[in-house]
This record gives sequence, C-alpha cells and structure tokens, in this order.
Amino acid sequence: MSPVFGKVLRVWMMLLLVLLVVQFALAGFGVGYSGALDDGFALHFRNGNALLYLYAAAILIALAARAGARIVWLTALGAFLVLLQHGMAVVNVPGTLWGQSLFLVHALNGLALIFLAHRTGVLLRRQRRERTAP
Amino acid sequence: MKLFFLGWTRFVVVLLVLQVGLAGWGAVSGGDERIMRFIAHAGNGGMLILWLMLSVVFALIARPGWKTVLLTALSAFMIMMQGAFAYSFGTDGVGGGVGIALHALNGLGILTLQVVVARRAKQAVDAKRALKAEGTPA
Repeated sequence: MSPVFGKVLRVWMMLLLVLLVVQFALAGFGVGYSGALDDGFALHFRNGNALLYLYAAAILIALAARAGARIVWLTALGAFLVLLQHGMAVVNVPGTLWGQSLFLVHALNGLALIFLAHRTGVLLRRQRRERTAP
Repeated sequence: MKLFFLGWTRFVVVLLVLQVGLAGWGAVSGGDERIMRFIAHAGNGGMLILWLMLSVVFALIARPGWKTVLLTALSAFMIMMQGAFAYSFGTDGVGGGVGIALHALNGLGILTLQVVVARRAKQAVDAKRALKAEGTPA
C-alpha cells in the first residue's frame, strides 16, 4: 500500500465516519424542528449531498492507495449505500405506508453506513500496521 | 447466568437497532401530534427503558466484570435521558431541533455501549468456559 495515500484514506474514512454521525444528528434536528420535510432538513440534505461525493472520492483514494480489493470494494459499497439513501429520499411519499416502510429502511441503512465506515477504518488500520511492521 | 446475560444483551441490541428503524418510520408519517406519529418508537422505547433497568440487575447477578456492569448502568441512565431530550426542548423551532439531535446522538451512544457490553459479556462467557475445561471450579 502506498504510505501517503494509505494515510490520506485513513483520515478520509474518519472524516466520513464523523460526517455520518453528524448526519444522524441532523436527521434528528429536522424531525424536532417542525416534523415536516422542509427547512429543518436543509442541513441534512446538504450534508447528504456532501457525503455522496466524499464517499465516491473515497473509492478513488482507495484505488490510489492500492489498499487491496477488499477495502476498495467496501468503499464502493459505502458509496452505493449513500446513493441508495438518496434514491429512497427521492421516491418517498410522506404519510403513506410506503413512505414509512421506506424510511424504516432509510434509518437502518444509515446506521449500517456508520458501522461500515467504522469497520473499513479498522480494517485499514490493521492492514497498515501489518505492512509497516518488520 | 453469564450466558443468559449475553443473550439478553444481544436481544436488547436487536431492539435498539429496531428502534432506529422505527424512528425513521415515524419521521415520514402524517399527522400533527408528535407522540402519535412516533407511537411505535415511543412504545418500543418505553419497553427498552424497562429492559435496560433489568439489564443492570442481570449484570449484577451475572458478574461479567465491574467495567461491564458500569457500562450497563450507564446505558440505563442514558436511555432515561432520552425522554428528557425528546420532551424538554419544546416541539418545534431550533430548540426542538437541537433536542431531537441530542436525542439521536444519545441513542446512537446507547447502541454503541450495548454492542461493547455484548462483546465483553461474550468474553466473560468464554473465560468461564475455559476455566471449566481446565477443571477449576469457577
């Protein structure tokens, strides 16, 4: 693994983890602000857009770092799940059983993303340690 | 009893994950009264308060190590705070938003803590089994 890009990827995954946790809090903010899908969720939407691009960039950084097939695929899975979150938000119809079931999955998918970003970071740290150890 | 505590904690973890899903369910439901939109979330949450209080009792009986007992007690305390975060910041505007944001972060914290407790409970079970295999009375 490239030492420089490996380091960048490690920091990048931490950044993504922090942003995902913040995204979770911002969703709560939107719910408490008014309940309707309007102004209160503006920050959740903006951060969600940022997450889509930043997670997509993680794939490129993982490739540049030559982090191994596993980590590259895990970042790709993360970017795909973020895309899925956007897709669910687009096809949502509030106040219907369809929308409610969809957002049950949306919330769980977000939780899974937090876990995935954390897990990818742990795997990366382990791999970097093994490479640098004599 | 250590094995029961492990199983119980895993059961609580599953319900906590479900609780996140139910929050998402409530967020896009229609209606004005918040408690009715989030009724499944509130119902499951109320039961989780009871389950985590029971967890403290089970942890004290199972003795999986004092740190594990302490983390369980902390989770029980944090889940009681959830009600305070949800209700005492108002129901709209920036105040209400901050309240539910803290509610979400605190909930995520409880889930993380319980995952850690489950891992430690597993270690306690394994340690006891190893002792038994050696023939030492545990």
